Amino acid sequence: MYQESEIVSLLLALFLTPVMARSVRSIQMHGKAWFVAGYLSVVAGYVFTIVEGYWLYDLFNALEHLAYTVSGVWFAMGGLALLRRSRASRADA
Amino acid sequence: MSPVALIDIAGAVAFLVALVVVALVPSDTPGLGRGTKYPLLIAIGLYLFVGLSNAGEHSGLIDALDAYEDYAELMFIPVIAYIIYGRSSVEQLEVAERAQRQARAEHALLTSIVNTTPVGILVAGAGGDVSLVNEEARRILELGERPGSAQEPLEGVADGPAAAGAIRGLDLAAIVRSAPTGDRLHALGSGDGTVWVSARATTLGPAQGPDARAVIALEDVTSRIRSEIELEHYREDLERLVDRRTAELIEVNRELRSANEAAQRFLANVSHELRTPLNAIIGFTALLLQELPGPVNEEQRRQLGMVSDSGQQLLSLVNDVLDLARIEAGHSPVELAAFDLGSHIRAVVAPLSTVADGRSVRLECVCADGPALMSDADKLGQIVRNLVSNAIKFTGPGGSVRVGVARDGDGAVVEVIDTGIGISLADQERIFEAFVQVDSPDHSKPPGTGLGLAICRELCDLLGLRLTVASALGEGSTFRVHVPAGQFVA
Repeated sequence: MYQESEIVSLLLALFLTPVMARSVRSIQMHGKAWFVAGYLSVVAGYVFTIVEGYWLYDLFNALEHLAYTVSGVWFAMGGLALLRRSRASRADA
Repeated sequence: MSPVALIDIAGAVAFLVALVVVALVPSDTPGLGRGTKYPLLIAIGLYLFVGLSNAGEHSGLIDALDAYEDYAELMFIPVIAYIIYGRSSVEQLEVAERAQRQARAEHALLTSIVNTTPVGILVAGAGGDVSLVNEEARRILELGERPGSAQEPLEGVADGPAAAGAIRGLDLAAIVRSAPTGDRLHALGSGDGTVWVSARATTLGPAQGPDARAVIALEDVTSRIRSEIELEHYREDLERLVDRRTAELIEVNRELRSANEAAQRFLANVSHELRTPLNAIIGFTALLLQELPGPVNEEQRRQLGMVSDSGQQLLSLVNDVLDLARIEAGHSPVELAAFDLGSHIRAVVAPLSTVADGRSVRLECVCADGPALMSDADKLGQIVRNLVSNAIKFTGPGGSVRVGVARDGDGAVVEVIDTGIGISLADQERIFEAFVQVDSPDHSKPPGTGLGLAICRELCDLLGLRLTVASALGEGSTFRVHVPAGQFVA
């Protein structure tokens, strides 16, 4: 079955994600797409962790953990994009 | 170790890498900032914690972290939301600051332009209140160095000693009400200190009502108006001067005409009075020379001959003076009649052959019959007679005088060509003036009155003919009378 904290996290995500999407578009930030992908992967993990309590536990549990891992990769890529941007700015200066 | 544990370990490593990389990014990187970097590190750190908790749980190494995993997961979404809203707010603030800086720069530029333009600019409301005024408008309206400029609104400038809604007599409220308007002239002040202003208004916002406002452009046209006024005074003075001078000229002209008429009357009377005794002298001298009263000796004959010649010369002079006076006075009417130019010239020249023979000058007349001319035959004959007589007079023995009629375009030209002493270029215009005679090469004064050519010029003018001369000293002269085509009878 599911835990209450998992439901709360999912509801927060489902409620805030559409609202945040509008603001995300206006942000000018290098690596933004990687960070967004990382965030969405985490949200996908929230979904999988709820689904695993009802259907194909092993598969969705694995997908949940995989989603978190992939999210870590995307965040790392976003960080690298920011670092490259920083170095390029210093080289221009 | 289960596959899920391996996935969790990989995830924890990935988040650890992300945490290190983001930590290495300087806070002043464009698009990041401290307000974004640290929350981002927290968010990554939360899931690093989750990854480590899952890896420890599924690998069976440590279970203690699992109790706090839920808190980490719950905090993740709010932290991400904080990052997004924080970053969005910062960027909106930066955009607003950029817009404000740009607006200030544009306002400063506009202010500089407005303040340096030679046109006074102000913004006035329906009640004549001024909300903006530039330096030139301040100068024109004598507002002085009071608060309010193109940079800062000016309130209540119109209040004070000036009438409500008016500054220095300039009714701003009326101008605002009538906006938009073209250039209208206003006088500010009075007397010598009057400033003339050309005002033009454009509506700003609603055109009517209490909220109506207008941009008013003022141009100081005092110099121009004063110049125009002075010019008008000059023009009036000039007109008065011209009227006075014209009246004086008319008076002088009348006096001159009167004097001229008196002189001509006098000349005609005197000449007429002279002719009678002259004819008597010439007539009785001729009788004496014919020895009708009795015989005369040689000395008496010589002296009587001198009396007769002098009398003839004086009579000729009187006749010429009478002719000239009559022509100039307009008392010599033109009597038009059709005649043949060639035969008329031949008839006029023929009697002069005796005179030519007496001076051993060969006189030749080559004038063929031609189309009939409508003119005054007597006056044309007098012109030709004078020209031929002059030519004979100024041609030495052995010389020749040739008279001819030739075609001149559609008209004709009567030519009198001699081989005489010629006329210098300087004298060629003077010879047509009355009583002017040119000296002969031996400086002897030629016989004559000096009126012949003057009479010829006057007669030519009277008949619509043109008299010209071509000559050179010692090479003879050619006088031409040009007859226009219009005087020939078709």
